[in-house]
Amino acid sequence: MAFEITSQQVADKVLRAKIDRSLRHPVMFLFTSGAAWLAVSLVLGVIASVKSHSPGFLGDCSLFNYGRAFQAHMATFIYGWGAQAAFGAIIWLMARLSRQESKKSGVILAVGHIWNLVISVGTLAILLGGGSGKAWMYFPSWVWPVLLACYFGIGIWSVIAFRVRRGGHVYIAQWYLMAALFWFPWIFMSSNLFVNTFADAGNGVMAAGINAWFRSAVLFLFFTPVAIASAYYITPKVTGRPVYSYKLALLGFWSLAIIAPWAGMQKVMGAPVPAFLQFLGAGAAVLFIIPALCVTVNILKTTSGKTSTVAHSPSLRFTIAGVIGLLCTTVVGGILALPSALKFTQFAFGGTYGYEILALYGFFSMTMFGAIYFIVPRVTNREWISTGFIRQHFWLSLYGVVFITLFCGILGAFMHGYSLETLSVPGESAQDRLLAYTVGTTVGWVFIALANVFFCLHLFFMWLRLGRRSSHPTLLEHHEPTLPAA
Amino acid sequence: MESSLRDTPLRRFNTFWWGLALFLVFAIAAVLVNKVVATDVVDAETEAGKVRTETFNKISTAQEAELNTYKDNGDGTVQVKPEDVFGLGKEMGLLNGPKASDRKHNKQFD
Repeated sequence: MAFEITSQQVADKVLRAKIDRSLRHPVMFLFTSGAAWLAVSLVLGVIASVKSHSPGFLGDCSLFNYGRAFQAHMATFIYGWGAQAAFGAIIWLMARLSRQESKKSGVILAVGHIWNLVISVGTLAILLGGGSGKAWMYFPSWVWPVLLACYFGIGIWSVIAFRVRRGGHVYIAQWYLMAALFWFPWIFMSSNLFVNTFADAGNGVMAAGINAWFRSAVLFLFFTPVAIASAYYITPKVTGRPVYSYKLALLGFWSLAIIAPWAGMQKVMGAPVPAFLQFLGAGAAVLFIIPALCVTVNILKTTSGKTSTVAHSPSLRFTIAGVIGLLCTTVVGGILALPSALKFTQFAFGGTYGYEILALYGFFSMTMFGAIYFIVPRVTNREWISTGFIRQHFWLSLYGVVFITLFCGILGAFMHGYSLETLSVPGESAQDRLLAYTVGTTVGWVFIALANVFFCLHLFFMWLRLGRRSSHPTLLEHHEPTLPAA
Repeated sequence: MESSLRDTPLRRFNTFWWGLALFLVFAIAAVLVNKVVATDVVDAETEAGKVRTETFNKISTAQEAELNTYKDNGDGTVQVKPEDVFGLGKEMGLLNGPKASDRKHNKQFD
């Protein structure tokens, strides 16, 4: 059967190629610099993790004492890798879905450089002892207004692309992208103002509560919608099917918008913060299962019967792993938010940290890797070089995040918390019991660090345009050995 | 390919400024909320903190001065800077790091 290519299809292809070309430099810059920051973050994460069981490691180097290394590790993970991966995905997805070329690629690229410069100076400041010590706001207080201005310089063009989009239809992915684009400045500006600017004149305890809300809000109202948008774009594209249920997607979106902003304050349970805020936070963290289930069911149903596509397509494999990561994040988050669990995990090692890594890596990063494996061949016009690299990246990432979630987020947190709560046991014993879990966490970080050696190298080669010149995508196919005919 | 009647320079220009205005609205809203929430009532914790900070600064200054003073105590001893003593201690091998003991601590853990 001969395929007839219509002029409409040709025009569509030309438009897509133009969009990809217009965004090549900013998208590749954001992804590669994000990957570089991920590498820095992982090195710092391994150092911090090793120090949790072997405090003498790099003990004479004040730059890498635990407090500084840990803050720098999380700051670079969130603002170096997470934010830049999200920005790259947002600008490309929005341009493709709005069918609009980017007319301000140069501006985005320039602002991207400023973002990286600020992160570099901020990280150096943390390592030299200038970190704020406030979770997820680790940089010195002068950094956040600059980051916010940079965010405007990167994000506004996607809002404009949406406003001047071709065609009337608004895709599900666009709802989430627009929501993320508006929610981020609200969360980032109001939290930083109340914690860093107004806190001196106000209530320090409430600032701690706002900080707890900020962590939850950045996760649920920025990283989550971007990752979900990516999943809603990639899954139908790769499987060649429409999204399973539009109504379920609608329910998922609005339940996210209504439930997620209330979560966060459960982390300060027992503090002199109004009790209703703490229990409302716990309730919202548990109810987050509704949007998470809507997304998971919708995406998995879209791929049902396409198991081989999920296994063979790198982007879909990472995306599906990320979506399952969303469900795990929600279940673990719900358990950790229960007041009876908080009794053990609130002040224990790794309760919050393990959960945050599950959310940031097991869900968000896995989905972003899926997006990167999909987007990069299109903007560079080259295919990924090695299926082996992609496989190593996937499996080592999976082992790593499972190790960290189990040993740090669940087992370590509960065991340490239980030991701390048991007053008849000496404090030293609680530390002894923790040892195995801290070592397990380090092993998890080593897995993730190794995984990203493959990813960073691969992405770097693609950035240098050393990818395969082929019209066939790189698939993770298993070639069974063929036996000679009897 | 569908036409894009929406894509006009005016619409792009408007969106840019509306976006910027939204940032300002968030900032203004935060300032207003702070104005409403903030009170002139001085809380005891802040006041106690001021006294504590003053005492802390006084002690730190006195310690700093004392640490850099040489004097004859009049009882046959002299006060010197700690680094002089630690320097001497190092020379005499008194400041070597602790070594693990081969004695069991006999603590009972559950």
